[in-house]
Amino acid sequence: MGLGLGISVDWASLVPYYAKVASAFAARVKADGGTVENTACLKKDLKALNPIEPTGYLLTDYPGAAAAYSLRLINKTYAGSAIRVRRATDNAEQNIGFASKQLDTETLESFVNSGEAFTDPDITSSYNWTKGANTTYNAATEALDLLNENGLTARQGVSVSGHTYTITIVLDSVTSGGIKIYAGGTQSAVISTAGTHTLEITASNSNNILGINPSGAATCSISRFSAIDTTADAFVTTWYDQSGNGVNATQSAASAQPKIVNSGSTILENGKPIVTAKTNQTNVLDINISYSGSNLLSVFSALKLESGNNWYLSADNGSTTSPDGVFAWAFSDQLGAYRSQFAIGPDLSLGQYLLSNVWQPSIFESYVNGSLNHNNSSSDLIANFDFSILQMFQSTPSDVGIQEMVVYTSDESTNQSGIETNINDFYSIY
Amino acid sequence: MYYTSTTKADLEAYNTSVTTGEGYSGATTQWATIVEHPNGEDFAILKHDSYTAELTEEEALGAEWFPQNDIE
Repeated sequence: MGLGLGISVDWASLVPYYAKVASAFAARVKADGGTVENTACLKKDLKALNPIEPTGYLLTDYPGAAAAYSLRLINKTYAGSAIRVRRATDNAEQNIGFASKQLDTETLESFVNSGEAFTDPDITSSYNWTKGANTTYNAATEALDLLNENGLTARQGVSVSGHTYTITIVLDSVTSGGIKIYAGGTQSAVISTAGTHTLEITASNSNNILGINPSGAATCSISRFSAIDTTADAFVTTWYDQSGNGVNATQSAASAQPKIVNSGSTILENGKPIVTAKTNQTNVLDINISYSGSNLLSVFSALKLESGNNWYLSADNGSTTSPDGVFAWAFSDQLGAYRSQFAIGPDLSLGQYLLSNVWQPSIFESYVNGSLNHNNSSSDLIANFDFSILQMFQSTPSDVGIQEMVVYTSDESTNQSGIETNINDFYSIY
Repeated sequence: MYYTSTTKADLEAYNTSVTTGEGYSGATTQWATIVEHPNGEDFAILKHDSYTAELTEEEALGAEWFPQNDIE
């Protein structure tokens, strides 16, 4: 941003100087025999004098993150996708980007709710269809001819209960009677005319069958049947790193992928999208990020404790079962961190939180919603914090959601307040 | 629901059958990760609702399967 002086300065570059100027001023006053009661207030005043407005993009205003995951756009120059998702209906995957700096939920839900309910639903091949005794495949018309039998079913062992399907069925001819769409015990109105018919049906829970029933004695020819699940679930396979370092969080095992869309709708917490991990999912998102050495680390996360109290944001050196360290850890309503030594704070109830854990040169501090929860200066806690894998969740069992996590391999205590404000301004956590 | 076995290969075969049947593509490469018990002799895999196998079923895995609980 220009200052009209032919000088280009960005907002973030000035932030570190608040503390330096405040400290220098305080030292000067003390040297002159005066007293300074609150340097923090001085920093705040200096910040207010900054003529350059922050961009609002967290990583642009506070650069240098080693990895950053968010369901909003937090880097002004990032042009990639937010997440990659797998829809449960047919396991197809697609990248989802941003719209108006937020997760493009319209595209997400459009993709998720456009999957065929069954593999290869082509009725002309009769693939995965259970035909009645009087149903035959007509090679000339490439249609199934239904002659007063017990119906056609598509049975692939998937749960249809509660799901809503948009059905498109093409009847080339109806000689007598008609057909009804069947979904888990629910039946549609009778279709008794030739042509293309589209309808919605919500399955009951009597069974896991989706298909076509004759209505009494029926003779017809069916050449197309399509069932689009408009109430599907979707799971995150990849949470893309916005830091520019390409440290994407991934989960290649379907059963361990966290959920982002439930029954056709994006999962929200306080009106904003959230990635959720359910009971029995372990190692939900693995992040291969190498960190070794300086012991300085700052982790900011917007998360939700939904149920249970045993979860981790952990780091380790390869083993997925013995964390080398834990950025954030909760058990029995306590919040803490761990690295050979526990740092445990007061009780933490279920709910949405902004959690800031900052390892400084001589002390570890944990903040919840901008307030100090606990600290610990044990050398066991702050020393030798090396890791290669960051596990965003480790729940055994509990339900946890996360909306954003930004990792700096540096002491960001100077910028902590600004970073927390940026996150909270968007998520309105406290 | 989990399947457990002392023969890891059996669970790997189950994992392969689910993975093939589901036709995963892209970033998803398998159904589940096999869990190894700390005793080194027992293994487990999450059961897929649509795929069955002649394996021992367990409703859930106890805490003894997850040694990270030691930090509690």
